[in-house]
This record gives sequence, C-alpha cells and structure tokens, in this order.
Amino acid sequence: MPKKERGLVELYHDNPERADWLVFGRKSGPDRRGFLRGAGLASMGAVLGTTIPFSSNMPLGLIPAALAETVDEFEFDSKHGDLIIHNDRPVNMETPAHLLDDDVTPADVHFIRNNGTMPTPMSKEEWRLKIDGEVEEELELTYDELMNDFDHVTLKLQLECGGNGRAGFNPLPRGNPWSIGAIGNSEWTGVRVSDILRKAGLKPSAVYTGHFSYDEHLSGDPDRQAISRGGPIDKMMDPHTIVALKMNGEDIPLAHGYPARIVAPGWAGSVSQKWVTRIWVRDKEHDGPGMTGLSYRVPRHPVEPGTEVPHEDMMVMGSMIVKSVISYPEAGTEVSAGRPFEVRGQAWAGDDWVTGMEVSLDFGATWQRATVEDAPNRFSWQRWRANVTPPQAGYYEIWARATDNRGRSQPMVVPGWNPRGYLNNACHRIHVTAV
Amino acid sequence: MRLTILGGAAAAALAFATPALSDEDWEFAPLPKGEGAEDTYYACVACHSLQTVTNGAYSRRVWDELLDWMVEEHGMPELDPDEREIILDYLATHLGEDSRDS
Repeated sequence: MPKKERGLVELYHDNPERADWLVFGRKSGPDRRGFLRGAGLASMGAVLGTTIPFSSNMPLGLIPAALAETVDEFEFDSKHGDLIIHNDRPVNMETPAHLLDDDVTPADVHFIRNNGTMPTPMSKEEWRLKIDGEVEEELELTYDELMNDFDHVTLKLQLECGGNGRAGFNPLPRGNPWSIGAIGNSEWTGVRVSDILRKAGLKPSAVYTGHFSYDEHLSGDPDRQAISRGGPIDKMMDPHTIVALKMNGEDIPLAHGYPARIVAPGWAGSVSQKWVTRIWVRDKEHDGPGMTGLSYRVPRHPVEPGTEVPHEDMMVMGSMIVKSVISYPEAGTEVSAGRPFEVRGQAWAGDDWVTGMEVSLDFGATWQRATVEDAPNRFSWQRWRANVTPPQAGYYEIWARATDNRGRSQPMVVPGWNPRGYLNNACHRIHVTAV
Repeated sequence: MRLTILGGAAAAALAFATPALSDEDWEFAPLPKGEGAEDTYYACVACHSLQTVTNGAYSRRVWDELLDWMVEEHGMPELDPDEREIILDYLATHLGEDSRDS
C-alpha cells in the first residue's frame, strides 16, 4: 500500500520534539517542559479551544490527548461541488461563471473569501454588536434588538472580492488567483448601518469605520485579527449599506458570517466584515489589518507591471468598477451553426450601474448590442441577454463588454497592473464550438 | 449544514491527511519536489495550507517581501537566516515568476 496519510500521531511518533516545533511552533525551556517565551502556546491553545493552565509543566513532545485521535478529512458539504477551491485554510472558494446564472445567487454557490479561521458559530443569544468611538452614545445591540427595534430592508446586493480577476495579471500579484467568479448577488435582509450610527449619534469627528469580528487569526494568536477593514462615513451612511441578518431569507450560513455581517455593496468584499461584532467609528482612516501597506490599495499613479511601489504611493480602493460575466452558455458548449442561440449573463459597476452591454462573436471586430435589464434595486447586478448566430461550423469566442452610466467600458486587455492585483475588469470571454 | 473544519494549527493534521496530488509517495505535496521543500513545508503549514504557497508564482523579491509580511503582520516565528535562504531559494526556483501553468 502506498503511504497516503501522515497524521499528527505519526509525526509525533517519529520525532516528538520536532513535531511540537513543526505543528505548533513550540520550543520548550531547558528542562524540556513548558513553552519557551510562550512560543507555540497560543497556537496549541487555539487548537484545543481553551487555555492550558498548567502549560509550564507540559512535557516537550507530548501530543495533546485531545488531538491524538483527530486526523480528519477536509469536508465542506454545504457548498456546490463545482466550486473552485483556491485554498482550504483559510477557505477560499470561487464560483465558476456558469453558476452565476441566477439573478439571486444561492448561498451554496456564493464565493467564499476568508482571511482567518472558519469560526465556531456564536449563538444569536450570545452575539452582540458594539458601536463605539466617535459617537455620542456607545451601543451594545443584541440580535433581538436588531430584529425588533430597527427598520429592515431586503436588497439584492453585489459583493465582489477586490482581487476578483487577479489571475489575469502578469506578473502574478500575491493573493488568491481568482478568475472571474469572486462575485455574488444574494438577497440580504438587515438593518441600515446609517440607522444604527444615527441612533448612536455621530460626532463631527467621525470620518471612517473600523470593523471587527469573532473569527480568529490563522496563527491562533488571540491578540491578532484576521482582518479589520472599514469604510468612509459616506459609504457607511449609504442606505444600501447594512448589517445583514438574513441571506436569501434564511439565517446567514456560517461561511458567510453567521449570525450577522456587514454588506457594503459595490466595494471590495473585505469592507463587508463577516461575523461582525463591533463597528468602531474613527476620526481618521482605519488602520486595522488589511487597511495598510499594499492590502486593498492601488497605486495613485499608473505603474509598469512588476514595479515595487512604495507604500506611501498607494491609496485605499473605493468603489469596484464596471464588469460583466457570461453565465450562459457554459464555456465549451456545442451550438448549431447558422442558428441563433441566447447568450446571457450579469453585469455590475460598483457604486454605479450598467447602461450598455455588447457582445462579439468575431474576436472584437464587430459588436452587437445586448439588452440590459434595470437593477431591481441599486447595487444589484443586472441581467443582460443577446442572441448571436455563428455563421458556419467552427471555433468561436463570445466576448462581452459592459459600459457604465458614466460611459466607462470594460477593457479587452488587462487594465493597470498593481502590486496586489485588484480591479481587473477585462472583458470575460468564453469559447463555443458550432457544428 | 455540517462543517468539519478545525481552527488554527489543528488543520495541520488535515494537510498531512491529504493524499498527494501527483505522487503518493511525495510527503510534501502539493509542493513541487526540490531541495528545500521540507523546510518550506514546515515553515508554512502550521498556519495555512500549502495551496497558499503553490498558488503563487512570484519573483524572489516578492517571496522575500511575503516572508517579511508573514513575520511582521501574521505572527510567523522569525526564521534563522540559513533556513530563510534555503526557503527563498526553493520558492524562487520552483514557484518563481516563470512557473505559472496557465
């Protein structure tokens, strides 16, 4: 039998001291007990889900009993089997284009972008949302208060990862190599953030929010946050920015932020903190993990691909930009030569909206107009359709191009390279074969 | 909904339990074979899956920055200089800019 598994048990059996270091980053004191300078203690505690009161006695190389039998397989059976898994720790899953054909994205096909752990769910009873910082009155709201004491809105809202399309950049920027499918448009029900902030009373010094959540940093260090981004007050006061309590009429699935998350549509998804527990109103741009350096930032001026851009020349991204996806037919489909067939998809434009849509069947030499439906509400993506006819048998590519209300269109080639690979809105294209 | 995702480093065990993708005898899969694969594997797997690494195709400079970022922002223990060289050589050689398969 070929060796298929290498579990913790085997690792510890081979060389227990090395295993302690490898798995937990643990180094012990000279008496071979305890945790030298605390190294590894936080990560071991995180795995065990608790602290280790007698950690200073714990012998080096001792596999924690709680883990001695746990060698489990990665499973994620709440999701559609065709999703593309970019990563299982942290979980990052992308939706293939042909599964974006629903006007309202079902939860099981919505992309997942995690920065930290998939947390153990916090109960609605236990959960609180704290509002503090530049407010007249700090609030600590319960789930029931949000359900009962505030107006609710139900909106179809696009959520797109800032790095959607990253795989198209060359050289490849750091980060998950998303293709086109880090976008979803589910129906979210919740409370306007503006109503919550008004209740707390914004001070004139309020300019930005910082968001916090109960998921954990991958290192297991309880003092680190996996991510903590936010948005300018104007964006947070927009009536379409909500604390969501329901996704498609149901409790929000754990992977999407149970029991509550922010949805700030049209901006990089990381503004829409999952598992949110605190909105800190700031008197300056928030500076949590994911706000600074190169993260969710783009150069102030265009740069040559591959350039090392100084951090001070980078600025926080705002709205996402005009984009579209061909959701039908699926790439590689066989169609009939000489016969019209329907091509359709979704289009969106961050804070703006789509006013025109064109498709080409001849590598962009000619374009024909597609119909674009109005959005059911602002910040929803929009359905587009066209009928195209391949004149004869052979290989074709369908190209699709959206234009927004300000006259900005998707480029055919990859737009401005940036160090982390954000905002690639190049036209989506798929191939079909006419027979 | 059933989830069997463990937090923190427990998932290290999951990575060990994952069958090798291309070669079942290669214990550091999915990393490509090469000198330094073992050091790279253990330096990374305590916090995140190796897919995070193999998704990359970066220059040595970018890998170097990424290690800094892991230490400064994500709690990675500082590598000793020799080990860091081994790991950087491995990454730049086997997961360099020209290693993209698409």
